[in-house]
Amino acid sequence: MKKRFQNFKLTGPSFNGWMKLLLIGLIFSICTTILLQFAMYFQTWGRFDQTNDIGQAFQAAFRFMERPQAYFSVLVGLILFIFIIVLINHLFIGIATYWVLVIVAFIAEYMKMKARNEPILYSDLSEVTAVGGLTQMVDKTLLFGAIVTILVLIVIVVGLETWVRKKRTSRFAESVHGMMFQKMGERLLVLCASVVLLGSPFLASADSNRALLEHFGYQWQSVNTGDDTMVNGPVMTFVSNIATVIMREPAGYSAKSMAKLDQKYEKYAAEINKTRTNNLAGQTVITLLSESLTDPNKVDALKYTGTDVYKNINQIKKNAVMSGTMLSSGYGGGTANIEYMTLAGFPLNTYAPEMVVPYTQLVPFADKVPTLPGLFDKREVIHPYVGTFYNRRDAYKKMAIQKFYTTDGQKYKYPASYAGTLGDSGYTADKNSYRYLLKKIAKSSNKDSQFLQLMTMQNHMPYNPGEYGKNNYKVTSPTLSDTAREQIETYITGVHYTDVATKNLIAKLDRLQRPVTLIFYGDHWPGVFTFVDPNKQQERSHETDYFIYQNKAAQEQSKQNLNKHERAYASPSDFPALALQATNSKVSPLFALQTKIVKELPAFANYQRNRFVDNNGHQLSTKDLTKQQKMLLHDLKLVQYDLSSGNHYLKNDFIK
Amino acid sequence: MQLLEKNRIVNILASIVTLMLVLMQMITIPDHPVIYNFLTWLTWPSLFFIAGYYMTNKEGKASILHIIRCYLLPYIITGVLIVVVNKIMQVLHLAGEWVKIPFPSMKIGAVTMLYGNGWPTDTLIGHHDFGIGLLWILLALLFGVCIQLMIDKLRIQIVKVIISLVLMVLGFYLGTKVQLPWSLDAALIMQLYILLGKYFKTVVITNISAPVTIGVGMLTVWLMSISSGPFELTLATTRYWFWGIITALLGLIMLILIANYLTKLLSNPLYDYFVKLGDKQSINIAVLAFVNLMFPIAHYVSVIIKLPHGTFVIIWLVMVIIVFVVKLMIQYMGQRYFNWSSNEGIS
Repeated sequence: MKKRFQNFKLTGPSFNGWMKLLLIGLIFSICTTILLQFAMYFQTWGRFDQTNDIGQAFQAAFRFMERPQAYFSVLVGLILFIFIIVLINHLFIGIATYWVLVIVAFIAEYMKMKARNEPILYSDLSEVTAVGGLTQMVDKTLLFGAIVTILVLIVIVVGLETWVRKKRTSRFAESVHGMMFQKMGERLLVLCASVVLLGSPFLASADSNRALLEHFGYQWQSVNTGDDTMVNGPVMTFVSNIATVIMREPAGYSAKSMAKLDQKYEKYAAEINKTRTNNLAGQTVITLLSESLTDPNKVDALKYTGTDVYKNINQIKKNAVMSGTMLSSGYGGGTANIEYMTLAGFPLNTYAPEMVVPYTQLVPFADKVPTLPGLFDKREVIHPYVGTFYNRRDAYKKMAIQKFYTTDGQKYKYPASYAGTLGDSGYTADKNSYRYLLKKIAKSSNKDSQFLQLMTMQNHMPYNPGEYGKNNYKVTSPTLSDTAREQIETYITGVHYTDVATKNLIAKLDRLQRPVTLIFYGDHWPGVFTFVDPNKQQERSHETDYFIYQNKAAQEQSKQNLNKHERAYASPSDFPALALQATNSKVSPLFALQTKIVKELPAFANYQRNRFVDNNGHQLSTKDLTKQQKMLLHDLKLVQYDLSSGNHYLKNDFIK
Repeated sequence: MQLLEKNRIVNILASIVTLMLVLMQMITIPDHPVIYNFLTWLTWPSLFFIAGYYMTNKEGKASILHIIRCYLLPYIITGVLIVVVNKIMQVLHLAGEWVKIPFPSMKIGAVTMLYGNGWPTDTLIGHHDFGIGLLWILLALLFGVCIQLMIDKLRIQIVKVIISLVLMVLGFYLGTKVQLPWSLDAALIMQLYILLGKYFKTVVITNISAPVTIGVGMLTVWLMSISSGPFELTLATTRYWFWGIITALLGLIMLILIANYLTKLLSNPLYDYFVKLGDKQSINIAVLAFVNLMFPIAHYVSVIIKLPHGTFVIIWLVMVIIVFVVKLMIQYMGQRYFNWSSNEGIS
């Protein structure tokens, strides 16, 4: 017993041992801060000090060390280092573990910035389980370099640890042992202290975290997290996004005001439903999210040789019952955010700016998540890839999705026979995922209403040169590096394959007896057009195409003539209301509100807060709205707040 | 380690502090913010550490008399001198490029001197637009040592440490509210360093790894300088006071180790000259405060020597020489006419 107590004595490293640990930790954490900041600056987006020049990027990263925000990053790095060392209590293994973490963080930050000009956020940690899928998206050279570095580290560590054990009496070995904890007492104490320091932001409220960060000089950049990380560093931006506010209470929110809204939109729904004849029975509605699809012909300054890669989709847009331009919230990524809007019918702009990924920050915590799929009897999502991204599996359960087919699915597995790829691509070809979609429609019963969502993968980054074999498309303008040019050529070739496959899909839908309504859209631009500055060309670089196509059976059932250009510019959040309008289906008070939004408000420009685009493409801000439009916007915010983080005053009938 | 060796280390430390103090006063902060910030983290704690080291163990009245002679007397003499010279310059209309007039009237000068605020700030008597300059440090040292003498009456060591820490936190807290008279905020904040100075006589430092500890000190002070800014003891404020205390502590240990290294490096004659620079620290401060407040030395030097780079170093050296020479003259007069003891201690 006495021996056990002795083991818990507060005897750790000597003063010299602590100083050595601190010195190593400080040097490492300073290097880490510079390295992570370098990952932010060595980018092509042209924001702040971002540059293609490796030397200038390093200079900018060193200059960041003069900012007060750097202190926070260094402190976090130092505490993390001490935590690892104390936990493992072997110096070299601890050092290697720390550097493996730093290398992984560096690659993740660099790649995400490269794709989206966005740093790693807390919500991205839900992607950790999808590590297999993530590594496929990483630049192969970088991945190879990282693996080699890690292997070299491991070899050095094993060598040093063995040497230190064998030569226990040497000065170096004694110095190393002097840095380690011989007894449990101080080790436990330091371990607990470092866990508390590192873990407190995960337990604290959003406002407490903000206060802590502001103490360290945090300057919140409301425009985007990319800018935030330039000013504050990726560590601060990460911590600022750990705890988040879903939505701040709108003015006038009360049980009384919500009861009034309940009545108001119940009445409005009844009014709409007087002319609506359908209830979706026996129909299929599809939302088809075409990954990274945009019309290359609309990219400023881009010229290529070869046939028009978008001609079929443009033709389908002309034949569709409704078509136009979709205003995406993302550039180079952010698929799940756009997807959320298309399913829930709520724009992201009206939530709190801290809420950046609804599937991880909103859906799991919201009281109710009414969605378009919730109106159907059968509700399935098809994604020919791993299903672990963006916390989709958990989120879908709350969003009324019954089956989620993915390549890694246990219960609902996307079949390998439909997963064929094109050339050397790692992603399922659109033509194959369309085949599976058609199979799902064919399997539907005549009476049930069916909702299907397909999220394709074919055009996902990294667009490796020569991915599809021989390229029929050559970029002639602008002048680019070979790699950048070849990547664009790969992308264009992919778009061509999508264009052809979509034409065939439409042809097959037309042959179906079952009424099918297809909402087709490109979720965001690919991050491949390095010559486009998404900040300078903000509007254009967030515009993709959408159309709502109905086969003959669906058009006959809806019995109406829609104005094709009714929503020439649409927010993804408009799609549920537009789908119900196209199918001439009856609406609940919630969808009546969304229908009113579509009819009376300009479209939400999701890439910028308080910004709208009218049907002629003109940019408007909130202050440009009429009094009625402002009131309608306020109604939407009240409903959004009540359903997400408010007191849930709305009746259950409001959303049914 | 023998006490004599400790004295040698602290003597060297005092000279290093003098050099840093002059540099801090001569630096144009907007041009060299990081250097200035860096120096503040090292200079202020060291000054109080030295004062703690030389705190006398004499009985109540004697020790009070000692600190009055060391700190209050130079403060009053220099303060009165500044106010009087200020008035003379005003009357003779000598103010201009060559002589500065820190106070618009004798009354304002007297009030500033009585309050003892270094820089313009919010005081208990309202916002005050004038400061007494570096002289504030003498008052902070006076009251800092005075408080520590009272703490020293306690018998249990841990209680002394806790009270010093509590007073330190109190000082930081009060500093965020208002500038107390007689640099009391700074006196409170520096309690821990005075206590450390006092304990230094009993601490063994020979087994400390100097290069590593100096490295840690350098890095932490540099980091704090760039991120938190200066250790603004004049106004008793700093951004991260908790980390600041640790940083200042590491910086202090670093300086002690450097001083220890220099004691071994310097030959005896060189050591004697170098130590003279830091001797009678309060006179150094008084001379520096007076010259800096009344005479724009930087302007003189830049008129005489026109260099694209390096003028800054020359200004610093000129000021060091002025302080040193004037201090030696005062010391000589003190020993000759007022029976000053030549080995009375560094303070």
